[in-house]
Amino acid sequence: MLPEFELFEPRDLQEAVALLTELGERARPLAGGTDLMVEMREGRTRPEYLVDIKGLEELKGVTASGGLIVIGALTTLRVLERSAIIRDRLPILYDAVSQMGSVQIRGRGTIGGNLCNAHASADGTAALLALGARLRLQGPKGSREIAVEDFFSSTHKTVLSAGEVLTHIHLSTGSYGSGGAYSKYTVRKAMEPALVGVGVFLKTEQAGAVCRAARIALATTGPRPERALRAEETLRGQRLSEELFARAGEAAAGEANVGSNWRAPEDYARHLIEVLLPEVARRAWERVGHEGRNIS
Amino acid sequence: MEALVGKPVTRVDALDKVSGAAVFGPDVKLVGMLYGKALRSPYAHARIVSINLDAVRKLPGVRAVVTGADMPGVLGGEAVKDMPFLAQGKVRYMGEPVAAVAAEDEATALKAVELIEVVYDELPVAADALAALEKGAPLIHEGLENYARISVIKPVPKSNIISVNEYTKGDIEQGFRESDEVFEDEFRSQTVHHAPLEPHSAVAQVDVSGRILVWGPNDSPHRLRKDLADALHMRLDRVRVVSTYVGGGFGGKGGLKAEPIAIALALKANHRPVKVVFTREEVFQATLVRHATVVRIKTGVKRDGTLMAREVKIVWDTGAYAEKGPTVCSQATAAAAGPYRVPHVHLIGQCVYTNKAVAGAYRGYGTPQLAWACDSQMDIIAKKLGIDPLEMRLRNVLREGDVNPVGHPVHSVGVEDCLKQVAQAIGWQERQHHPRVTEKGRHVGFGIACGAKNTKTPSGSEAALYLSQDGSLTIVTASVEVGQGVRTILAQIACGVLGLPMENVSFSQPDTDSTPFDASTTSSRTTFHMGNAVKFAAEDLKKQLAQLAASLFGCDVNQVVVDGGKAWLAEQAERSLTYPELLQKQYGAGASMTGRGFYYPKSEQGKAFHESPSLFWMYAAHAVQVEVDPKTGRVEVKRLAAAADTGRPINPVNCLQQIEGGAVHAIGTTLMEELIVDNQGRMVNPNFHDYRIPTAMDAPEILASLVEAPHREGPFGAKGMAEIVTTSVPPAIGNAIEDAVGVRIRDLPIRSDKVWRALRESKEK
Amino acid sequence: MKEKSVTLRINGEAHVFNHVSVRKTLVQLIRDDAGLMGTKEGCGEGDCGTCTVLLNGQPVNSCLVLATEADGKEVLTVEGLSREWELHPLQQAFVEEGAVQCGFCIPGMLLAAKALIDENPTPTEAEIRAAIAGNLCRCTGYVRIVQAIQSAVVSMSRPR
Repeated sequence: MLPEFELFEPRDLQEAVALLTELGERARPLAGGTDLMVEMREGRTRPEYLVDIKGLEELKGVTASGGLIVIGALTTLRVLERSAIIRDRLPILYDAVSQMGSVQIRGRGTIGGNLCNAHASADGTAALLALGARLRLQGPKGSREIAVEDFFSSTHKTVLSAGEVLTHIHLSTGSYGSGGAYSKYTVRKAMEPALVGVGVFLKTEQAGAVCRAARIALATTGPRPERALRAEETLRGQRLSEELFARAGEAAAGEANVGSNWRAPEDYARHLIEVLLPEVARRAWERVGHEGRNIS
Repeated sequence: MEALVGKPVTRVDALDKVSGAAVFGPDVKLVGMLYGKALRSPYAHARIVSINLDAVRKLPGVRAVVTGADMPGVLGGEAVKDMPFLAQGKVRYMGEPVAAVAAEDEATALKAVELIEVVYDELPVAADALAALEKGAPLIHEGLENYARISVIKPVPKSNIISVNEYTKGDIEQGFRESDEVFEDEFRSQTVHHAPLEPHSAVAQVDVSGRILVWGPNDSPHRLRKDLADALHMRLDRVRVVSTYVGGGFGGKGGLKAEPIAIALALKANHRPVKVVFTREEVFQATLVRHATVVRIKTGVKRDGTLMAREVKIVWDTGAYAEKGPTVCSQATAAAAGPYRVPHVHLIGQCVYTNKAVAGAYRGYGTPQLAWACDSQMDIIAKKLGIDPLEMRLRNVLREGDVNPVGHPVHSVGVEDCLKQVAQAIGWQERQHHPRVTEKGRHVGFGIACGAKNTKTPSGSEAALYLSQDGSLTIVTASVEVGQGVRTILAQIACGVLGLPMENVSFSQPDTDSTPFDASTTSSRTTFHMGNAVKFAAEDLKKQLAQLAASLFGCDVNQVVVDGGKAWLAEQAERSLTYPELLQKQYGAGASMTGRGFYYPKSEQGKAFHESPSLFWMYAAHAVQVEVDPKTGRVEVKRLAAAADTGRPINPVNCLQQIEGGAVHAIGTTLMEELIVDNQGRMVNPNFHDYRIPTAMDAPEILASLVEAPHREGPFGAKGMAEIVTTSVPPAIGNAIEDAVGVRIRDLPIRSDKVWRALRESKEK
Repeated sequence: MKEKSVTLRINGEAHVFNHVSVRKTLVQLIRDDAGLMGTKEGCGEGDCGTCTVLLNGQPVNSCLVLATEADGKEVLTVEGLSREWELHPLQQAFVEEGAVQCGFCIPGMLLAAKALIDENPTPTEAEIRAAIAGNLCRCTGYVRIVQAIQSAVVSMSRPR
């Protein structure tokens, strides 16, 4: 049984923002509920109020125009999984969401919820980090846009201030010659958060031979979602090769913010990063294609 | 005659279950029902200083509040009476129920429990069995030698050892002296959970005369009735237990689980029924787990691989209360040397209390942990001696009439055929032609293993069959449908003997008021014991029908043939009468006929519970093909061949179902599952996201087959096999990993980080 | 609000429940208020799938849906699969293929399978396993469950 709470069902974003501003710490927004309701059931959180934002149609859906893709924060993982736009133009995100939970969970869990719960092991978050997504936030004082890596403050916390709601995720479908992939290591083949997950997004030149820029995101059991900056540095400006990917893997393994816990000892988690990154990087590179097709 | 025996008849309970009509424990609803909830200890070991119930008693909607103090002198437990219904004086594991509340609705019950204030005085925690054995370890049950117990239990005073069980044959030291090589190894197994999909529950009600009624998914209503009656100092007939369908038991839904809490509340609830349904967290923390073990195995062999001597020392981590722990220790320790001929044997098991969740009966009853040790070591030995692992086993495996490691001659021994069948199915002889490394760089390995399991002996089962005047049959037994297909099996036997169609059969619900005694639906004993009882009952009916026919035909009863639903005078089959016609002719105003069958092994009458050599042994073998990723240590089972000795399959599909399910269950407990408890006795992962059982995407290709080694005393030769189907999976996988990458893992589960680390260390050498 | 009136269709039949507490989940509404016990609650946290129902045609863990959210919606439970006494082809296949042991996972499994076939009438074995990955089973090893779904795919592709 869920603990006691009072429910609000705002009809539009304005109302939702007003409610969340007024109620502050006493309220939590309810999207898909696949994380929040579990937290409540396990007694880890006891909000007095839930503000159910699932009625906000304006926060749902995937649109593409030109080189810009906009994903509503309330878009479910399942909708993303089945979206032709996502599969064709953001396959790294498809990789991530299609491996999450079960069909039942993906039908309810939202990409916005995945970001806002700020778990370091969140696959969707890692893919968006690798893609360099920009997040649109709406609050009582108006809206702002921030880079996804600036969204996380500390363990399981975001920079959302009182009353602020994540509304949309903005992605550019990369330039010519880019490609991305995401993969994770889990014990079971389904129903599991990443023990280690790696997302790699490459921007290349010279027909895919040289890395112009790389973004590498790690999903771990550590405190926050993070990028592997030194690994990115290893790739930047270099001719791509297996050997280069291996060095990037080493770098990422060293810089990752992981410790030992019951899920895995630290040295093993670092080792998984080291061996997973080159595999993911190779797949990202393959998606670039040698003619430098415009897929990301 | 027995046309139905051996046929893959569709399961009779399937319709109920696909329709959603099957009633499980949490589905039971009685008029006026209250909701019960327990308050559980946050400490693994502590004295209870005080419990303040003032606030909770004042909450509107609360109808009963109980603590251990309300039940002085009430101690339950089948083997050892050491467990109060609610904690008394102290708590011995984190999650132990300390108090409970019954309220008008669930919300009130949850709120009420939070209003109970308990003051504890923490005590040092013994968080694992080896620590509990050390000198100076905190004593978890002081005066344990004073508990009422059955005769096979041998406690050690002033210790945490509730029982020591020892078996010897020959002269172990001589055996080692005569050996060419001696191997000593240690293997460990982790704590795992049954993880049934249905949570535990019970509905209890006390009527105006003080009689207790309990509904729930308990696997053994008569056993539960005795447990309760003994604990509450009541006559057996003053307790009634009714079992629903069980949504997965695997040994974890027997004995006292949710029932004590529901009953404790019902005794104070003014005759209203009280329902208690455990949350998934409570199921993990406070029902039952499988014994973690430390097994030290020392084996002496001749150079040609012949086993000479085997000494096995086992420490069984039995958790905070005895439950079935001591009988797991006594029964499984006898199986520790494996299904082999070994002239000199010494087996010793210590059953040790710890401040953790109670360990007890779990599919295999200790044999998987033992096979993990024994059949992993068999491969270590085979490798050292340069003998093929299959050959090593075939040289030593028991055959009909051999004497087993505990000195008993064995009958109905199908283990050799099991080994040969799985070897064939997996392609054992051809494995050297199989590429050692796949395209993706995974290392391929093959492993084989076998195992044996005994059954609790003696035990009895009684069945009744009601033949109605229209020829329909009601099967009246206390065997519980836990998913194993018991109803179908018993119907096949009854209908097979009587020559009636399966469609003519109905079943009584297991109910101690009306279904006669059955020891339990456990120990893989039901097909054999209750199957015999039903067979005898059917034969009894046939005799009565023959007598009725003889009186109607006016002839001697020996001239009557009863078969295929009819009776006739010999040589005059065209003048037969059906069963309904027989009854109608004699009893025009209506009648029924009752067949009775009682099976209790003759040889063991007069012996006490668990005291006798096993009535039958069950055997199985597994062979697996694994792929190991040397980069991550990940182990994937690609194909698993499994064969089980069924004695004779009453229903082949039913047997294959067990083999398939058992294989995936064991893959889970070998590779993925462990209940993690920290050194303060706190369970870290009591939920289905962190305790991982295999999903549909984790199940490999399973090649299942059956072996027949008929048992002279089993119904149509059948034995049992629902547990043995897990026993030899762990060592088969361990052996395959060693074959693939040359590392030997010695503690379960075989996590990928362990394989990776072992690979790294072996490279460094 | 702390409670709300919920009007919904379950298995094609209209239901009205007044004063439904907002903290009640859909699985509780189905079992305790509508009295349909076929849908189970194995964990309450969306990990086991025994509470799977179709909500407006979509498979969901009903333990993670607030009962009040079902207002105005359609729910299909296991009881709604058969028509009068005639079993749905999936139910028939589960019986015939020996896919049922203890039965506790079966209602959720049937609905997850139905959702799959509704969306994808010709799933591969891998797609079947992915579709039921959120429905845990401890008894069967999934062997005959997958076979039953494959058999139902065939029988459902034939005109009725």
